[in-house]
Amino acid sequence: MSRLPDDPSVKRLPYEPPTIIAHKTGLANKFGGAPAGRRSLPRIEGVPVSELVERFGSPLFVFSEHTLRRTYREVHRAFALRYPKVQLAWSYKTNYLDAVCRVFHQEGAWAEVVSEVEYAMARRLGIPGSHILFNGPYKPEPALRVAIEEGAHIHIDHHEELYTIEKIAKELGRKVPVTLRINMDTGIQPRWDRFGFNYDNNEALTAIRRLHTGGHLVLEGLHAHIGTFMLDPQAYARGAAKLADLALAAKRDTGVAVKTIDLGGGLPSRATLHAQYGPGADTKPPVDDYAEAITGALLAAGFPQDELPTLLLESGRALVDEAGFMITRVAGHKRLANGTRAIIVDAGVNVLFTSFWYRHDVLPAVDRGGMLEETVVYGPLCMNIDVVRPSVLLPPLEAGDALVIRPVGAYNVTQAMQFIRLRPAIVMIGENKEIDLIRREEVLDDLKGPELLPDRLKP
Amino acid sequence: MSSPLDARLRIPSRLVAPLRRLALPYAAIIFGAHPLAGLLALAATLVVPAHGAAGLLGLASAELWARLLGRPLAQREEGFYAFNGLLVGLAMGLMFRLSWSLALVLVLATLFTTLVGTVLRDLAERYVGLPILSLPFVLGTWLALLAAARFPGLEIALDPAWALHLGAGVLPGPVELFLRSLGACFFQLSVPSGLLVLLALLVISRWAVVLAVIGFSAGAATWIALGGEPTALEGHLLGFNFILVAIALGGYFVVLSPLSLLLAAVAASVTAVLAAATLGALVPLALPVLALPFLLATLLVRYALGLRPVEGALRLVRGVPGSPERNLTRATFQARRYPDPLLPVFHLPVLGRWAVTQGPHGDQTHQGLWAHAWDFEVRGEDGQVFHDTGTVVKDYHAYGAPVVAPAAGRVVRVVAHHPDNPVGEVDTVNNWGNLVLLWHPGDVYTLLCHLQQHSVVVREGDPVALGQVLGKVGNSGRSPVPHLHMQAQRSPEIGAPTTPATFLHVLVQGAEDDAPSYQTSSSPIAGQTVEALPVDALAQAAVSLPPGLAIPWRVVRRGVLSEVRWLSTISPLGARHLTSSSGARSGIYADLAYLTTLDFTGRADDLLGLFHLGTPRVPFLARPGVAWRDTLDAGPFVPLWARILHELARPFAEVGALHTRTRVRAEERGLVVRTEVDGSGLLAGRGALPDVIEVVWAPGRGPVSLRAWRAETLLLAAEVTA
Repeated sequence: MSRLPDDPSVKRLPYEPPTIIAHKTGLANKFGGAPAGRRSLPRIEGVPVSELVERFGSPLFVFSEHTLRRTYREVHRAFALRYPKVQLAWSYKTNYLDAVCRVFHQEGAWAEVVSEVEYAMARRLGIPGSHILFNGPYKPEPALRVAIEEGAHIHIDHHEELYTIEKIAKELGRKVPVTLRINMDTGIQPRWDRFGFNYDNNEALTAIRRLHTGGHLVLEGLHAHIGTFMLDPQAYARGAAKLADLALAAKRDTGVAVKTIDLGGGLPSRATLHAQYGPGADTKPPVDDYAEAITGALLAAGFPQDELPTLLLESGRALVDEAGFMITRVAGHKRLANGTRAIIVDAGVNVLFTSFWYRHDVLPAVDRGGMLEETVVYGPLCMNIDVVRPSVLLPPLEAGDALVIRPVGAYNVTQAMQFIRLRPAIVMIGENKEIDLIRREEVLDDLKGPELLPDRLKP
Repeated sequence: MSSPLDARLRIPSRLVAPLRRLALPYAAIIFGAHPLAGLLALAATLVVPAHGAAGLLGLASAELWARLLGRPLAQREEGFYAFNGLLVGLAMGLMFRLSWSLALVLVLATLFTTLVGTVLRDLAERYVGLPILSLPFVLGTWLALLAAARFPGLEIALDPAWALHLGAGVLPGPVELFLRSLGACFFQLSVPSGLLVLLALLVISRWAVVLAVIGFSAGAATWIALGGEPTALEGHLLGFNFILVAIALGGYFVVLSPLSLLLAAVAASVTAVLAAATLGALVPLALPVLALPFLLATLLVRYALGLRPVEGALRLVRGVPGSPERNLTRATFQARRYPDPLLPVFHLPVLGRWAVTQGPHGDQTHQGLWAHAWDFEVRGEDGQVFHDTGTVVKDYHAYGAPVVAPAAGRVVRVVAHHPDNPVGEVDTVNNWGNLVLLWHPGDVYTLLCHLQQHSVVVREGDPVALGQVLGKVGNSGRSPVPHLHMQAQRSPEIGAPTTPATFLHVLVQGAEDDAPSYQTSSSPIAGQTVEALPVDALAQAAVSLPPGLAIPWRVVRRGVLSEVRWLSTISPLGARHLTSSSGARSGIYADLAYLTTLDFTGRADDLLGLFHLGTPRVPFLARPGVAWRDTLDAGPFVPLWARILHELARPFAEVGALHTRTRVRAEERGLVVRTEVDGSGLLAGRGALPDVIEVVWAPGRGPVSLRAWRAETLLLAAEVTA
């Protein structure tokens, strides 16, 4: 290519076609002065990103045990300071990596599962049935039978499920404690009314009466999952007040005191939604506000002191999101036809499903200077939709440079798919900075193992 | 301690109860409750049969009078009336010849004794809080003697010479004098009687024998050093007073310790002076001193010791006293294992996990009259009590957290209008700030201060339930940063002097401890974090031994299979036990927070014994990582000789204790309670004690599996078969 002599004192820069870029630095915006300074993330929990890439390759999911534990304790503390009986249940679907689940279980979390598969995962990790909340709109009868026999807490979603559980209880010859899922208007949109029985039109109380009259089930708890990424704590206050009201009505009607009130999940993380203007970390109310709203409503509801129900919470995202990082490397860069800078990285929406919802923070591991420029971050898939960030300020980057994308702890691992590419390795940085591989990089057999090729089609 | 008499002597079962009734009053005279000791003492009185007969007559008639006078069964069963009557009979039998007249006098004198006993006991229990011991006997005997002077029908008798000479001169003089003084506890003056009483005392307590020697030596030495006639010790029956006073104050009423031994010696010396004084005072009436010096010295000292505000090294025995060894064992273990019954107990006034930033006798403000108080704040994961900058009260984790009633009671005072101070400023005019003052049953008050302005949700006069929300933590009054101040007090004024108190069922974590530990009662100090025991429904359903529950075990020990059956029982008074078909027995206590086993009796390697070791206490929690320690008496688990060795050494050093460390984890099978047993505190007899015991509790079933290991070798595996 080059005819220049190999002069070691001359460092050749990669060629970049010339473009004209408007300088945006220093413009006043809604928040005042110049944008925040240049940002990079050379270390995760004190471990150099370069070392992680060197040892485990890229792309690479990294989880911080310290952040997992700290976040759990902060959330738990916010509620435990305000209410005497609080139990968190780790929402498996958010991230059911064994190592992540075990950290939360060690911290005292129960398991919240929404399928027989997740149920088996929790049991495999040594969680007794009595510490599992079995949720979800579809639970096959054999799975229900196992869960009932093992003493799990069953959340009933619809009447057919109620009848099935009644049938099982009849066969077992004992009363089965159950929780009813309730939906309601908590003053927010969209209103989630697809799970359970409606409060506002009295369907819920009717279901409770039916359940009690059947004689085979005992109402143990009430559950509501009012929405996801809820940014208004008062919605929870309204939800908690309605559940408490229903619990007291149930006590008046049936004489049975409800033992648990479950406010589900939906607490936001510090991630920024695409629709949000400011950074999520600044707009998200502190968890104390949610705790104050929920416990305040329950304590003011008028339960007798010795019949205060246990408050259950099924947080997922709020506990795990910030503990997860994705390390990816630049594969190449280009100027789009309109002059916009673009980079191609080795992790795309196949492993970063939340890119569809979040404006992820994308940070270079090393900032070598140069002008910040609006950049499109494309994934490695041969698909037009594979965009990690449509636009983010980044310094000039070269192929092989590492980027850190955060927060990615929630939903990405469980929803990562083997589409075009196999799934990457996952490591956890322990409390003492030890690094453990908690899921190896996939090999072709992991994808093709279950397939069966008829003899007549064999090559 | 009371070994099954019937099993050893093979007495027909229908005779056991009457024999016990007969024997126990004899043992009670020397502070014992052992039937064998009673029978030995009975034998001592029968060396001269006429004496013994008079004693039996006194005992029988006093018992009869007590029954006719409708005295409560419990008082009669403990032998109070019987032993006072017995003593009247023995004293009169020594002085008068056995005759119908004596019998008549005895029957009437015991009636008087029983009446005096009834009235004095009632008055003493009601107004003084002291046992009156043998005071009725002294008064009853004096009455009989004063009356006898007018009735010539009573013939004065002297001890038969053969009895006095029996064994005389064989032993050195002082030893013989000691033995005769021992016998004089039962008004028997012969050496064989003294030997039998010594044996009885040995059966009751080895330490009682030591105390008897100390008391006798100190009393007699004082008497002789002051120039008293040595013969008077024997002639006026003074020596036994020294012995009894030493046993009573050295180990029966006061917990055995080096200092109590000194107390026994000093009290015996004082008794010698009291004996001389009473002897002189009673000359005009021609009455013997009997047990008066002992009674005066013992009751005076016992009463005075009870008035101390702080116990110090001389600890009084709590509850019904037993033998010195038993009292010491109880004081050593139960006092440590369970809350002091005299302290007011509370639950934490806050929810969640809090740091104690100042405890009792703190270095800032909890001093002097206000020493017994706690300041609570909340620390985040970074160790700070605030987030963000900490420059406004809202940054503090504690600010706004609910304050709850630490016990049920009634609201006495509410102050809620003071504004919260800016961070760093204090209001020294309204020192206590916004507050709630609660009254609790037992006339103890709690003061909760520095609450948030207008946050109090209760009103004066409201009844409050344990755990009911009262208000929110704030920063009013003398409070530079948001925190809660709690103190217990004995009067209803705001800021009255404080009184010691303790918190029930807390998880305590020290600054350097890695794991939180469960404490049944705790008075946390600065630097510790505390949290109410998180009661777990699974644990509560599993760790349960409801009365009537039968537990059939299949036990494999060294390859040998055996079966044993336990039954959970409850007495009409509510005492709960686990009894095994092997004959072993263990007490149970359970409430809403924990279950514990107490006072195991049975063979050292019995399955129930291992269960007792493996269940020192089980709080109803399932949180892994929480550990708790306990200290158990190794007594039932070592051979008799090792037990006696431990008991003899225990006043000087803590020996014979098994230290346990227990953890729980929830598993598929249920709640696994794993206890490590540390036998390094034993001088001897470690034998085959296990070092790890694991008990599995299943919800609704109770214990279902027990395994014990020693040096990682499985000693025993037991499973419930049903």
